[in-house]
Amino acid sequence: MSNEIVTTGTFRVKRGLAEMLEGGVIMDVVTSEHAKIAEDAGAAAVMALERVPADIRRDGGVARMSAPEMIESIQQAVSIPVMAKVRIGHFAEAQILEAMEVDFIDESEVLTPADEEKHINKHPFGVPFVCGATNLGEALRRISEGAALIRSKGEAGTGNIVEATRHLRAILTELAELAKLGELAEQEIPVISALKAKAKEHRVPLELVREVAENAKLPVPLFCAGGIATPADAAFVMQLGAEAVFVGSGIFKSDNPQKRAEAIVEATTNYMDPHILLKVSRNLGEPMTGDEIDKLETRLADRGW
Amino acid sequence: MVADSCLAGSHLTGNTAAGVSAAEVPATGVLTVGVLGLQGDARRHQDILSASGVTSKRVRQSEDLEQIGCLIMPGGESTTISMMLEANDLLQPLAAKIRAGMPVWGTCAGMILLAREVRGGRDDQVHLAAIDIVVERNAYGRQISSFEASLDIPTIGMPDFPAVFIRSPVVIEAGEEVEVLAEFRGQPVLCRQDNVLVSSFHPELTSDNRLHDMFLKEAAKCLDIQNGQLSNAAKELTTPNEASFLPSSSVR
Repeated sequence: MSNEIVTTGTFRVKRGLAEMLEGGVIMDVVTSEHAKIAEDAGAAAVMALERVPADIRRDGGVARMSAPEMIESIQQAVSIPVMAKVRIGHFAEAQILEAMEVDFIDESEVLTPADEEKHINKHPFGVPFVCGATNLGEALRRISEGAALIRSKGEAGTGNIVEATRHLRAILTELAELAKLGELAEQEIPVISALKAKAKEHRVPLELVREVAENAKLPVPLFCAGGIATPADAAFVMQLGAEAVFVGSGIFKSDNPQKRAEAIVEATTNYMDPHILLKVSRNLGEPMTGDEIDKLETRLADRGW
Repeated sequence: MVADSCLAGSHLTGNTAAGVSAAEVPATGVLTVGVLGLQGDARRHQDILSASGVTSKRVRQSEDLEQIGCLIMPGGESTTISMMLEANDLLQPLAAKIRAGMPVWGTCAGMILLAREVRGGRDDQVHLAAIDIVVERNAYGRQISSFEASLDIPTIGMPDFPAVFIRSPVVIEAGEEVEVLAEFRGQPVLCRQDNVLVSSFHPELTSDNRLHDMFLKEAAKCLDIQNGQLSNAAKELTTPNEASFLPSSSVR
């Protein structure tokens, strides 16, 4: 019946999984019990890591890829996709995660960077990568390196949404500006040189800038991460234009993780319905405490470039 | 019942060239296409529909069901969508609409939710049991094993269909009433039974709209039949109860 020509690891297949996660919540989990709670609460995927960002922040020291046996225990516990983090630039950690058949690799500023010059060349990998970005240039550089999904960096482990808001707004505003150029690109030679200037400014190929300008959209989904602690936070960033949310410390550092997790899932689907948002925001217990950004010792979002 | 075997009864050949039928599809204005928008790649289905000039509506609440003539259930995580079907009180109204003959197409997670039996899911996962198949979740393996293949669908005249499988389910059993339209490595990947169409792959991740066109044409035909039977039925003074089984959009 079929020609039996089968290809794996294409960009379409990698981006495809990112698209399947749209409208969903990806939850940080540190044990297989957490992972089960997350799956039961309706998580679209889990991020397996040894310590949630709030604890990484508190403990200090070098944060690395989690131990394989810890990630494997989570792979065995749930049927939804399992993601795991590697340090920026650390392609050997990524090779190990790929050998474990992790579903998605997060090249993450939450861990201590391994390379200050180069991010991972993500094209040769069969497993898709997600990378953080604080602005459009950073997003485009990660995409040209092969990322299949972009998320805001936010300021992980703070329970404070303000940085994620800044990053989402920056990316979306710059996208809209580029789209204005795209509308004119067919007719005017000065516009082509403006696109070239943008490509140079962002240090990415002209073709990528042109494609983004013409489609008025990134070629991969844009999710929000960093500081989401409440159902209202999830609805807020979805209304701003995020296509799904990552929740790190916000769930398992709160009073009632199961209930809060379910509430954030419902809020992410029904982000435009204030009555449902009100209903799911009731009786959740205390959220994680949270930090003010200018009192932090380490700004994770400054990692990467 | 009025709408039984609606999709199966129409012998469409399918277009050989993508994009041929945008103008022929009588869907716009007549048939509102719903796309279940609880979680997953609803946007991709809406994009491929709008590229053919067809507008669609996201379905999140049971009220939304009253405004649509057919429904696409997209890919995503079936455990999440299952939970949200219950949370948003959609499960019973949706099941009733499908029983009443509303054409529905499930891709990947959508197929899982329409199946009679689901293996490898969560114990409390709900499903609509709208088509007599048993599916196993993630049966091709984890994401690293996700793949693309060119699929011939000779049963409906569609050669070289670009099929994208993302952590896809496999049909491990199909009942006698189920029409297997395409197989991959000996396992059914495209099936239909009455008003229910399912695929384990994702046509919405490509720009090939042949299956979308086929679904819309059959759905439109289905509605015509229902409308015709409704007017006949009206002449014969059918009880209001029977008429209420029809999708509301067919009552105009």
